[in-house]
Amino acid sequence: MVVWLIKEVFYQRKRHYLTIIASCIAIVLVLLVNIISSFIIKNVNLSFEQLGLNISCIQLLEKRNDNWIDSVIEIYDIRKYSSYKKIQGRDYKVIGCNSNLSKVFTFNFERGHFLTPTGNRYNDNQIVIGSKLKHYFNCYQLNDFINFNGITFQVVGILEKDNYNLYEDFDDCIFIFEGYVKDYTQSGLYFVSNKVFDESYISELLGEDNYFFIDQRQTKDSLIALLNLIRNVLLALSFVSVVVSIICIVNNSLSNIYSRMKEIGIKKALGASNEDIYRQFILESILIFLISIVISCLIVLAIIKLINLTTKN
Amino acid sequence: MIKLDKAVKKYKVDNKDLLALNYLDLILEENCFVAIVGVSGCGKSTLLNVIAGYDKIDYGYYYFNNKDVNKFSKKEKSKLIKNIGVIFQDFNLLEYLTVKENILLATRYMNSKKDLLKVAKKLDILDILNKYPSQLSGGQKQRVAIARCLITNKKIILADEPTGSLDKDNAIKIMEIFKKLNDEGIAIVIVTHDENIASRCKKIIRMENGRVVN
Repeated sequence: MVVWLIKEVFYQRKRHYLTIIASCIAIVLVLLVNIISSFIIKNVNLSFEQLGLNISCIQLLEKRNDNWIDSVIEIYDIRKYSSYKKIQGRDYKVIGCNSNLSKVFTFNFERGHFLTPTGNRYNDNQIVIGSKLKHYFNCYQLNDFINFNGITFQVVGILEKDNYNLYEDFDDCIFIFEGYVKDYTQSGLYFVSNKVFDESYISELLGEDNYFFIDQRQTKDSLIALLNLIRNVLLALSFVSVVVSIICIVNNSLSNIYSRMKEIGIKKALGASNEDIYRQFILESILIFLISIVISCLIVLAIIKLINLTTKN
Repeated sequence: MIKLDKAVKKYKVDNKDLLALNYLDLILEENCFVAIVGVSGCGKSTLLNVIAGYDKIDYGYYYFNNKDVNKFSKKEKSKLIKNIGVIFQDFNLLEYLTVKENILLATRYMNSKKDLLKVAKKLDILDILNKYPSQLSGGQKQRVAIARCLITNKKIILADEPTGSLDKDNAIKIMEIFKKLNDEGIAIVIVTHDENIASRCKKIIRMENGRVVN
């Protein structure tokens, strides 16, 4: 039965080419759009990091010697704010998380500063403190233990005052590490500060016309909107192609049936019932669909491999 | 075995009714060997289609083994079709199947089947079983078509101009095969306009304007 069916389908292959091509186009487009859009959604944060954007941050650009320095970054992360507030109590608030800190700061443990190399794991009970806080906690050397909000922490870094202005902002900050932050950031570092992000404070510190903010959340929003637009356009295109393909497939199947009336007649004359004829056409359609799926999957796999290769290169 | 009583079959041509079968009465006995002759358009092929169960009569009665075919259920009708084999002038073999597969095609839809080799030997087509129809001569194709009827136990073979596209020698060969089959107990009904072919049958029925005239 199967051999006969394959033989019948193979004999009618010229008629089936169009159906297979139409099905393949529809399946490939739907698969590609779905794979690409799910890839975009899944990797959108990572992609932004790769682009050098700290999308969960407000970036502060400071004017120094008539140049705008964008290496000074105030971190203000709404996303992590509430969770840390709950853990750390009322005196200190989490004001942010830098998703790519190691690239921004180059701290050095040997010089009494701290280093957060990418991929380095810290324990939850380890902290780095700002320089003002070492007097507050009576902690003047690394690996001392301090009590903070009823929890004992090991000090693995003290942020000493340096020539750079940026450290002043963190004099009264505590930096804590959290394992699960690894999932979101490369450094796994949180800032705990008694200061809430306040533009007037920055204005007072740097002078009114010497700074401006780039709210990268807005950049992120507009980029995500663009990505969504691209995805929707792709989906619309794939939908149109699916509709066109379905029309093509139905049209082809009908013309296939009409052009095979003689064959149907012969089979009916030999005793085939209507069910036998339906079964033959349905099985043929299933076989063609399966062939189309296999071809489409191979095409999609090849395209994805090609994309992977080009992006790697 | 087959009885048509005042059978009428109408076709609409230019909004007018054309009587292809005009109150036709006909009786075909078991094991008959009949030729139905007449000019083109006299209703021969329509009669064949009605007997084979492909067409329904509009008026009158069609009895098969004393049962009214008009009252047949779908199952009974398919049984009727399974009892009757039809052979056409243009052979109606499927081009993409080999001779063997063409013959066995009939067995896909029926339970009863005979030994393929025996049938092939009887019709002298043993050596062409693995060939495709396009590689065969007209006579060979018609023998394959007959073999396709014989592979399932048909009681009647209806042949619509079976020798129409054959040369004289092949036509005679086919008629000899029909005669042999008739001797074995199969009823043969041949529609033809060739008097020589008709004269080889045991009985000749003449048709004119949708009626039997003799």
